[in-house]
Amino acid sequence: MSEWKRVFFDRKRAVLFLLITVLCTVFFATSLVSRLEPGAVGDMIAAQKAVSELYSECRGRSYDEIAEICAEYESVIYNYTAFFSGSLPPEESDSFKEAEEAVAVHFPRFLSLGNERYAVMRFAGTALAGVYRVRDQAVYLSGYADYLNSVNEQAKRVSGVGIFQTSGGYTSKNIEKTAEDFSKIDGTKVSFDNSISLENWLGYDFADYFFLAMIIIIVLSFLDERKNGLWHTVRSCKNGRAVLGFTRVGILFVGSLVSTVLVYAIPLAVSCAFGGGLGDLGRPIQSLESFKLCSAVVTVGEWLCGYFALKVFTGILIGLFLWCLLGSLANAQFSLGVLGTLLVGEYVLYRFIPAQSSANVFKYLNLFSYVRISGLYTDYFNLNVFGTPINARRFMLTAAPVLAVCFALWAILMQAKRRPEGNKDILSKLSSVLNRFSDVFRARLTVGGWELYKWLIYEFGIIIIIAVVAVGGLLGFRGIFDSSLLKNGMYGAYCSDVEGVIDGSEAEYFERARESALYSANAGEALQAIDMLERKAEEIKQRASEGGFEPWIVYDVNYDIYFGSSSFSVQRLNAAAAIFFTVFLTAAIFVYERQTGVEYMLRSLKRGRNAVFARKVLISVLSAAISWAAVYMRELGDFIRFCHPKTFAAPVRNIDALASFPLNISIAQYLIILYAVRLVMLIFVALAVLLLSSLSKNVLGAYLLGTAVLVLPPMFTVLGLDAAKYFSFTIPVSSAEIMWKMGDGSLLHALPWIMAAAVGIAAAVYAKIKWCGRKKTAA
Amino acid sequence: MELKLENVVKRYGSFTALDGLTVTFDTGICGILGANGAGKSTMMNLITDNIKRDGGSITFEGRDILEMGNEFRAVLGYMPQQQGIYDRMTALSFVTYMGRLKGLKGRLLREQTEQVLRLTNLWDVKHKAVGQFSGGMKQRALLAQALLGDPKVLILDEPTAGLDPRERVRIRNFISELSKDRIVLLATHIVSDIESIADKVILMKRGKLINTATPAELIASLPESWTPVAHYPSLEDVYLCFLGE
Repeated sequence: MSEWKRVFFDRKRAVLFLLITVLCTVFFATSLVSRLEPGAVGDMIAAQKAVSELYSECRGRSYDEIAEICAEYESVIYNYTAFFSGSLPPEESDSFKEAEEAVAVHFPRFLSLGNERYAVMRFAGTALAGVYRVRDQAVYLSGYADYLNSVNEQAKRVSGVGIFQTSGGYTSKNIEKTAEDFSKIDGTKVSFDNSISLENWLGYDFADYFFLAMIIIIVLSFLDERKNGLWHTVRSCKNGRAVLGFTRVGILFVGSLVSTVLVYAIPLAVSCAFGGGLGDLGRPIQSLESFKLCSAVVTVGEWLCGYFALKVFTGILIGLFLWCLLGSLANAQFSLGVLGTLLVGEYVLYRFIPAQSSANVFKYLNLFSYVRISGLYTDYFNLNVFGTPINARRFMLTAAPVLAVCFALWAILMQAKRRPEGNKDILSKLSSVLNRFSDVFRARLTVGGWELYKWLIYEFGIIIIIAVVAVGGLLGFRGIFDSSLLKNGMYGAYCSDVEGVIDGSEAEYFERARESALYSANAGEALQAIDMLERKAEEIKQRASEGGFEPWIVYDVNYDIYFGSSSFSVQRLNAAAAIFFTVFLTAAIFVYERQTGVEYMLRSLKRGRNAVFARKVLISVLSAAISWAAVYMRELGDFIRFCHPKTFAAPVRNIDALASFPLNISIAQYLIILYAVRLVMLIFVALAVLLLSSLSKNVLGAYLLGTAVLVLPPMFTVLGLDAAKYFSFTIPVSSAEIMWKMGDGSLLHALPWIMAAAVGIAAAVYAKIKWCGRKKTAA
Repeated sequence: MELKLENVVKRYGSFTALDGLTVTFDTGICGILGANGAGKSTMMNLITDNIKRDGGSITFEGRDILEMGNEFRAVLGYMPQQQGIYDRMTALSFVTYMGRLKGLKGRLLREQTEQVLRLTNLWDVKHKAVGQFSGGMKQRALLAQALLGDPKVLILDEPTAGLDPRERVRIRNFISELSKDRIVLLATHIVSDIESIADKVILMKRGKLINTATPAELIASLPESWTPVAHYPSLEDVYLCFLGE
């Protein structure tokens, strides 16, 4: 089998490439959506189409005219949504029909959403954001000439200031250099055209990291023979030395080209499909606001061609660098650890060194500068190279071919000359010293301690936990509350103010509020709100006397946007995230022993069956708890910070939607049950993952199986395929939906919990049989 | 001490790996000889209760090993044929962890860990990751864990494979010493290992027991027509005569 075939047609690598491409494209598409919920994708497509039409309408017009057209689009949206957000519901009035006709021209989606207030308001937000972007672009372009002038003027002004005047000093040279660079683009005629596709694509940073992942996969394939003990054999073959080195450089080129197409060209095509194309490719690149600081004289088309060529080239450069580094290690066992350390170190330098720092060479002459190559165009900065300012972009681009040649030579020589035996192994010596200390600690570990240690260190649990905590921070917890349902904008303010036990004191409050309302500008609305609140208090009192609980005025909206019907979409998304986290934290726990080949040896030991199984289950419970904390403790924190709830002690039946809740408990108890049930449900998910893990052959297989069985159905549910919820843990893990619906008094809503529990328990029993019982086949 | 297999049957689909095997192991070393696919590893996996038998019984001291469960595993030491090992653990960590799983703790665990690592000549490299070991060193690490806990039944599947001659002789002599008060089952292709230390040899072919006797008795049983490979007939001749196909 040729080296080309081995690298590109290996099943595992092909699956990883495919997975990365799919993830990259899906993440990009979701980055265009305001909120990940049913209907949001439709909103995005419709809004992008409208924006595309707006661009067509604005093309060739002056910036003032563009601003006017944008204002017209804006008012069309506002006029229509006023019927949904105001105090009056949409009705068959003439003005409503006029608004309908107006939106039908550019925003026909409004009509297809009918009277669904929530959906109308959500689409309005998306459409307005698009219109604002066009308007802001026009504002930017109209001020660009002034901006260029200001750069030159500022240079002159600052060079006249005493502290910068030291002739030959770096600061003075830097000012002169900046003015000189920007003078090259003086008089650039920026022009208005559709930039939304390119701007969306440029703003998608994740593609760079997916690209890096693909290059790493290719480079690691070059070390396969070392890991598999075939290095001696390969070197003894006729073409196993320099020829193999040259072949691998060629593989890196093709790999980089393929990766560029998969993670950059595909999202760009998606962006163009949604956003209406790239616009005029002959306009200067500065016509895009992202390139405001770019001092290169280049058109959009030229930049795109150059960017793709540069991407392929930097892919090769990064690959060569990593190959040289990892190939120089005598011990292949450490390659992943060294790679991880290098990436973290380089990223920290790239991310945290300020651009103005005197150590900024480490920021720019950095692996991630080449990974995030677009940053060299969108930012302007000079490096302090021995007191001389050198443009960072020019420096990096000039250094790239030199570095590439050096690394290529190094890599080929290494492939040709480096022997499998007799190399200096500094890392092994270092690790031996570290092991000496860590063995003192490890020798004291119990069986449970060992399982925890294996999970955290050998199965990379600690890295996954950090990732889970970081990704958890991206989640939102509040639903969009349809304020028009309250029929009165001031009702919320009064209700929030008077929250508490209904003991007669509220009557005084109402009296005082009425008096002060009389003097306010919108007295009518205020008095109406107080009347509504008074009626609500009466209703609650009656309901409480019938139900035997203490009456409270509770501002329901807070609970609704976090745990009620307004939050169901958000709840489902967060449940999907929690399930995803649990799968990735738990998937390796059982299969690791099988992958390492120690399963049978462990099972022949006194404590290798039940004791190990019990500890593994405990670790799974812990992983479920971590996922739960990463999502739901954040939610609780956000709820407390945002709402400052004063009514935890109130009986839950005081909330209108929970008036018939089967248990007579307080809101605090309701929330404790909700969070506890979520934890239990996530534990059932973890048990299901254990079973899938015990059915897999290796860790990668366990991740893929876990994703296919447990992560995809929740994702489909979130994206609007409602039937998928019956095949997933989404609803039981979310639990908010179940408990809120139980507010009608029916216990039938609890059915998903029972089903999830049955699946979880059955999975645990089967996993125990798989681990502790006998196999049908030999090892 | 007696480990008894009676009429044991194991099938993989239509293939019969063990076909009514009946054999009794007493204190001492019992060498198991057979070509690939003869059923040696299957027999060992059945004794270690890693695979499910389709018929027959396996008893230790008169009690079925499945009923004994953990009680049997407490007296068992098993060194598997495959070199499956936790690559990222050091030799010391690996043996300590296996000791924990054998129920050892405290001073006893520390003492036994040192003892088996010294015995297998791994004490000087105890802080090195097992993944960096050569094949022979991994083999010794696996043997070290099998010796932990003073097992009454020691099952060694190819224990000397990959070892250099000096190590092989050392380990072989050590196994010989161990066999005084325990049952040692030793499966190997290196016939000379068995010849020099085994008290009894069983010959297996296609899941069946062909013969069982001491090495000397087996050599004596060679037919007169058999031409020895070496100048004097050896157990290798027995292997080739009875099992060679």
